[in-house]
Amino acid sequence: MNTDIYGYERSNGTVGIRNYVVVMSVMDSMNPIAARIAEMVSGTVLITDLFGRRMVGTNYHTRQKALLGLGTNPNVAAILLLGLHEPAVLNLLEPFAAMGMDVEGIAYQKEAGTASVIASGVRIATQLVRKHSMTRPQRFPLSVLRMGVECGGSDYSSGIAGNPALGIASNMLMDAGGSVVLSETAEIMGAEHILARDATTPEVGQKIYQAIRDIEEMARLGGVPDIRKTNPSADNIRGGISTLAEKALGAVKKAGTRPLQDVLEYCDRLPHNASGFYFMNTASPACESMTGLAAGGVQLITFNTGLGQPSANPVTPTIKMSGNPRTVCRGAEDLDIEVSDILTGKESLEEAGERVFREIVAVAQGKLTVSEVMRTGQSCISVCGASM
Amino acid sequence: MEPSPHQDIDALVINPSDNIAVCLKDVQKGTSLRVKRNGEVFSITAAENIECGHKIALQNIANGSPIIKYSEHIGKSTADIEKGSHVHIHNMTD
Repeated sequence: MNTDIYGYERSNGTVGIRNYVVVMSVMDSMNPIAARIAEMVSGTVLITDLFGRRMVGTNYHTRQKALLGLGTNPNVAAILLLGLHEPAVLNLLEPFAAMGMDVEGIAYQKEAGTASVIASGVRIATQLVRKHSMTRPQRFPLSVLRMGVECGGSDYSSGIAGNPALGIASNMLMDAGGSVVLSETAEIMGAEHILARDATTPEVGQKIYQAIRDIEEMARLGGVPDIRKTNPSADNIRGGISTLAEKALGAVKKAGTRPLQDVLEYCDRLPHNASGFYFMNTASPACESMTGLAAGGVQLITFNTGLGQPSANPVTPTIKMSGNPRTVCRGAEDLDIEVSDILTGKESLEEAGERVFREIVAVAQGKLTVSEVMRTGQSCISVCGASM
Repeated sequence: MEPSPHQDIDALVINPSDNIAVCLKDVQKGTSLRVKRNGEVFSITAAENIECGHKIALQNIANGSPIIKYSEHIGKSTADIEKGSHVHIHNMTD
């Protein structure tokens, strides 16, 4: 099997598997305008967020890191920024330009209004898409690929079919020199000792325990004395999950079994020479988590679901898979690949895992995912506490 | 009619070293189940009714012994568990 991929080399040495123009709203008030521009111009993807004004401290820095990370994801060729006023635009335009990005910006308060901003935005975005459409993808080894792994809408099939099959594909990618990033700190609680045990150094193992302690402390401050007691949920128990460890072990299966290289904070960029298994400390809701992974520089995400879940990220093609035979029988319009025959006994886990790997390689070679074609990706940056 | 996709096997052992299997359909007490482990299928008799997604003991498990799934300890038994019995929060804990 040819596992070389076709990608676009960026000035910072990373390789994208897509060549998107990002239309980025830098604050809440610009979201509807940005959405109209992206809808009008094929070849663009939309980044919006419901916050962005009067943010200070940790919130401000997280948001800045997230937007800069999303805009410089390897899949991005150029960026159009939309802000209420010029300082807000420049606050991102200048760092993007300094990082060598092809970036343009529009400040609403310098234009006549919504219709004018949309008209200017559509013109600029069209030019950017046409300009970058002449870049031809080059051949690269699979080792340049960095994949995020997610699960959501989980059920009994997730931990015994979909996630283990994805784990086999994750191992195959890492053995080829690529990287896999797991996230969602609260979801690994109960299996942290496995990740720490398999860490490359004791220090890296300690970072996992620290991330867990931080989330337990945050829960205590929020009035939850022992967050571990909230899992497995009543629903999980009805589904047959008996302990916290059992639930978490099912979730971490999707990342494979290679040693943990490092723990990244939310939206941290993967190291330049990344290879192997990484963990990113993120919130558990898929949209926030995938935004962190995309800002960290993964070029694609593989997302296993039990009962179905439509979330995808706009700048990273998101492969949707399921191992639940009933979900697959239902029709499963949003699935890119299904592995339900693991549970009917017609396919071995290993065979299913290899099929998932082949789908990952195909998407990295240019095959479009359902969520890309339907343009259902969206972003959401975690916040802590209220805006000022 | 609801599709019935689990035609070939009734329960799955995830890792060969596990002492439980996961039922892939609701099973009735006294029925013989086809259990898949590492590509091989063997039989076990359900000692009680067990729901889809729930665990069945593959061997007798003494009180206080580890329950192994994914080749990892997911908890320990709080009672003697007989082969074919339902393994869940009534007879195991963290």
